[in-house]
Formats: sequence, C-alpha cells, structure tokens
Amino acid sequence: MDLLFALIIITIAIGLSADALDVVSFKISDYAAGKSLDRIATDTTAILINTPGTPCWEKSNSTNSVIPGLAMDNNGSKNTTKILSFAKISQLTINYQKLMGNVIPPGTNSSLTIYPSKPTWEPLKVGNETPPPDATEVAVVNRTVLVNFADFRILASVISNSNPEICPHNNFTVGHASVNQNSTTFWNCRNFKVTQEDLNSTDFYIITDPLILKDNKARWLLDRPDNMNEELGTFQGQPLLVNDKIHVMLGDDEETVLWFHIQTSDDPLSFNTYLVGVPKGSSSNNVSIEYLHPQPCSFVFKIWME
Amino acid sequence: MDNKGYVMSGVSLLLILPAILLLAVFLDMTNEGIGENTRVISSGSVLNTVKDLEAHIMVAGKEILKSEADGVMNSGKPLSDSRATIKDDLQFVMDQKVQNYKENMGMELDCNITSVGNSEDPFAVQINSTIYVEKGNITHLEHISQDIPITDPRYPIPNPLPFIKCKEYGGTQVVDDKICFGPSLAYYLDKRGVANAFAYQNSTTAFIIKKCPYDPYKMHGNNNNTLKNCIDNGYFHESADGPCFLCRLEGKGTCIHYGMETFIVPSSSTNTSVNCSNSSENFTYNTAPSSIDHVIFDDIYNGTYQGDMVIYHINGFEILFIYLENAHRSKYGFLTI
Repeated sequence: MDLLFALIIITIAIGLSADALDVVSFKISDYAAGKSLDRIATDTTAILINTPGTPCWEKSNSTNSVIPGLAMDNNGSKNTTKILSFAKISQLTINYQKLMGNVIPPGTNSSLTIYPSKPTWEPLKVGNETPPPDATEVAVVNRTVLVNFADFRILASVISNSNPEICPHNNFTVGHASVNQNSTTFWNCRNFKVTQEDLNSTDFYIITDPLILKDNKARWLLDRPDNMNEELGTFQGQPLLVNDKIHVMLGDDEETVLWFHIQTSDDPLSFNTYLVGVPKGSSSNNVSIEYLHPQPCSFVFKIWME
Repeated sequence: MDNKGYVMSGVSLLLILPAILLLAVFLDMTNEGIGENTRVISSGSVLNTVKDLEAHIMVAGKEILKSEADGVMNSGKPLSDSRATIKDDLQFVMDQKVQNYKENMGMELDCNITSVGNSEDPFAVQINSTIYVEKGNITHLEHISQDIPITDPRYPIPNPLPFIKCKEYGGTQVVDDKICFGPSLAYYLDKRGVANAFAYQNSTTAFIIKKCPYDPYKMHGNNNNTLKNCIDNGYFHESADGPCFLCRLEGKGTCIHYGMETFIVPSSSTNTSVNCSNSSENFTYNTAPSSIDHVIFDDIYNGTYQGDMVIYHINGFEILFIYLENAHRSKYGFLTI
C-alpha cells in the first residue's frame, strides 16, 4: 500500500521536474540565442555607422573581403561626429546581400532602412528582405544618425553673425564701401581659393537660404583683387551656376584667391548665401539648400536567423 | 508508517534536484548577461569620458591662449616662460574638470598635460597630454597630441609683441582693429640708434592674428590691390625668421622656431604734388627700416636693416607705402632692387 502511495508522489515529482526542465531549458536556449543575436545586431550597427570601411570600397564593385562601413572618410581630421555618406549607402544598396555577408554570421539574414526625419522625403530601403513569418528570433536596432545627402564643398558662406572681412573694394573710388559705413545698402564679402584643378572637377553654384528673397536690392559679385569689377548679378530664386564667371576670373593662373560679395539692404543679414562646389556633372536638381548640411535620419537594422 | 516511506521521499527529492540545478544555471546565466551588459555600458562610458576630456582640452586650450595673450596686451609685461605658464593654466583647468567627473560619475580619472610647445603649423600650439580613466574593471590610458589653432574667429587672439616692446616708450592704442603706435615705435627705434627711425611715426600694425589667404605669397606682388587688402585686413604670414606665437608672448622679436610675420605700416603720406605722385617732395624718407615686425623688433641681434619704398596705393589724396628690402621683396613677389 505504501509503495503505491509513494509511487503516486514520485510520479507527480517526476512530472513537475520534467516540466520545469523543459521550461527552463527552453528559456535558456531562447535567452542565449536572443542575447547573442542582440549582440550581433548591436556590433554590426556599430561597424556600419562608426567605421568608414575598407578604403574606397564604394568606388569599386568588388565584394571580396570588403567591410561596408558607411561613415564618411574624414581624411585624418579629428572630427568625432560620425556622418554617413550617401555614396556609400547607394553602393551598399546595389550589392547588399554580398556585402552584408562579410559582416553578419552565416545563417542569418538582415535588412536595413534609413528614414529621413523630413517627412516629405522617401525612406531609403537599403536591404529590402523582410523576416519570414516563422523566424524564431528577430533583433532590431534603431539609431539616429546624420546623413550627408550630397557631396557639397562650401567654398564661401555669407551668413549672419560671422566676422566681417575687409574686401579689396574698401577705400577705392570704384567699388563699395566697407561694411560699417552708414549707407542704404550693406556689403558682406568673403574670400576663397580656386585652382585650375577645381575648375575641371567641380561645378560652382550660388544658393541662398531661403531660395526666394524678399530683399529686391540683393545682389552678388565675384571678382579678384587684381581684376575688380562692378558686374552685379541678381538672385533668381534658384541655384545659379557660375562656372563661366569663375573660369574668366581664374584665367590662365594655376590658382588664385577670389572674393564673393553680397549686397543687401538689411543689416543684420536676413538670408544666408553659400558658394558651393559639387562634383562636375551633378544635376542641378540635386543642388538644394536642404542637402547643404547633413540631415538627421533613423537607421533601422533588422537581423534574424534563417 | 515503516522505514520504506523515507526512502521513497528521499528518492523523489533527488528527482527534484536537477530542476533546482537547472534553475540555478538559469539564474547564473541571467546574471552573466546582466554583467555583460554592464561591462558594455561601462566601456562605452569610459570611452566617452576620454573623448569628452580630449574635446575639453581643445576648448580650454583656446580660452587659455586667448586669456594669456589678452593679459600680456593689457599689462605690457612679457611672460617669463610662456610654455610653462600655459601648461600650468591648462593643468589647473583640467584638474577642476577631472574633479567634477570624479564626484559625479564615480570614476577614477587623471589628465596630465605633459607638454606645451610648437607644432609644425606656426598658427597652432601643440599640447601633449595623457588621459587615464578607470571605472570598475575597465581602464583606458591614452597619450594624445593636439594642435590648438590660434586663428579661431570665436577666440580672437591679439598680437602681443608690439604691446611688450613699446610699453616703456609710450604704449600703443587699438583703433579699428589695428594697433596704432603713435610716437612710441619711432622713439623705440631711435633709442636703439636705428637710422631713419622717424619714418615710423604714427605707424600701425595688425591686431588680431589671422592667416593670410594669398598663398603662395608671391601673389602679393602681382598687383598692388592684393598687398593693400592684405595690409587692410592685418594678415600674418609664415616666416622662418619671425617669432612663433609662444615666443611672442615672451617678448622675443625673433626665435629659432618656425614662426610668423606681419607688416608694420608707416602712416600714409599726403599727395602734395599734382603731376608726379611719387616725387620725392611727398616723402621725407626714401629708405627706412624694413616694414616687417621681426626686423623692426629685433633688438637681440640688432638686425634692423633698411628697406626701400614700395608704393602700393595712390588715391588722389594719400599715398600708401611700405619699405621692403630685397629678401622680403622676392618673398612677396615684388621686383628686387
């Protein structure tokens, strides 16, 4: 009789124990897999965002042992803010599977989408696979990054609150007075250097922020100290291509310092003007004030076990 | 009950033991996971602290360079050892920042400024430091070398040399972003026995240190407007003979380091002759000490040599000119005599 009673208790004990074993082992494997996948996701995101990757990887189409880092090359300068380069993002979109294969472990698959903070812009679908409905484990990482959408080089910027420079027209009978004198128009001038090589590789545009100006006396002028002129240009409410003017100014010299003058009727400045260099042949649609500075975006990276 | 009951309960206890063991393993794993996370976060925190200290050295460096230069400008007294003074100032500021971190973040920190000296760029000061951060088990030791620029427009740094040299001779004034010597520079040169010293009566020179954009410097000679603009803006040029910024704070007119130079401009001459603007009627001195600051302030080696006149602007009322000797004429692209 006692043996049978004991048997019941033993059976219940075995059942409870087996059930606990089952639950715990499931939880352990789940936890281990989840933690390791989280770790992989965080580390992969760190590689993509914080490193520039194999040198010049975005220029060639090869994918062997290439690390697709997306950060802009900082050419040795100690700028610690990581900004992503659009050219690298585009190259990653073309060869996504192969390049990511170099970074994530075999047996996993991933997707990457970049959502710009401006609601009017389209999200960039870099890797567009989605996790299958039966995936056991999906890890998601969401980071805020800055993305440089266009490869601009700001040569001269005339913005409010910047220190005034005295331009060559100062004190001349021909030309404009310096900034501080009492007159109905005010001048702000900046200098910049241009070389023959720049002329061959970049297009020069003048853009204003905002594009359409309320100041109808606003004018711009480009000249050099040994070739001063009074040929004022007007603003057209769109980016102005000034390659010919700069070509004329540079002439046959290997390099020269040019001056960029802005005439306005209010002081302090009510608008900002930039003279930018873009790679030669870029379409003028891409030259927009919105692309001038790096834009914040959400970087959403998903990884799962196949 | 007889003894057999205890055996059965004992065996059933043995069966529950694996479940308890597994529970213990699970708890241990969770702890490991938490420990791992804590290590990652601590490591990130240590790295960010180091980056923060590095950035702070840059900002504090600029502020200290400006405040020391302003101090020399206002008092006219040179620093006895500019490198040591700046190093001590910077060490003091970083110690305060480190103390702040220690109290608030519970980390062990040490930032040691090892040296302050010249960098390859004469418009920058090199600061070497060692940063050590420790949080729990994680430590980070880094030797950092930074170049602090002296031409940042947010921290405008004055040219200290004229204030030191002319203090005993009547002082200088700052008018419209230029240093006006009044009678003091001419008096200083005359006291040293330099010929034609009074050509520099009421001369001016650059106030805030700014880098000249007209590089290569031979561009200045292409056209007088370039030289006029360079002088109007008070730009500085790289020079092997010119004193570096740290030696300028010590009042040295020349030093062995790669430094910079700027023009000291004699006052303009009124254009009294109608037909021939550069006739000698307009000028008392056709030669005078060369208009470069390290030439004029060279009282150690007494190398203040004379230069010939270069007229760079005539506008009907006044004639603007400087004096340059052959070496500087060829440096800036002017015809040599």
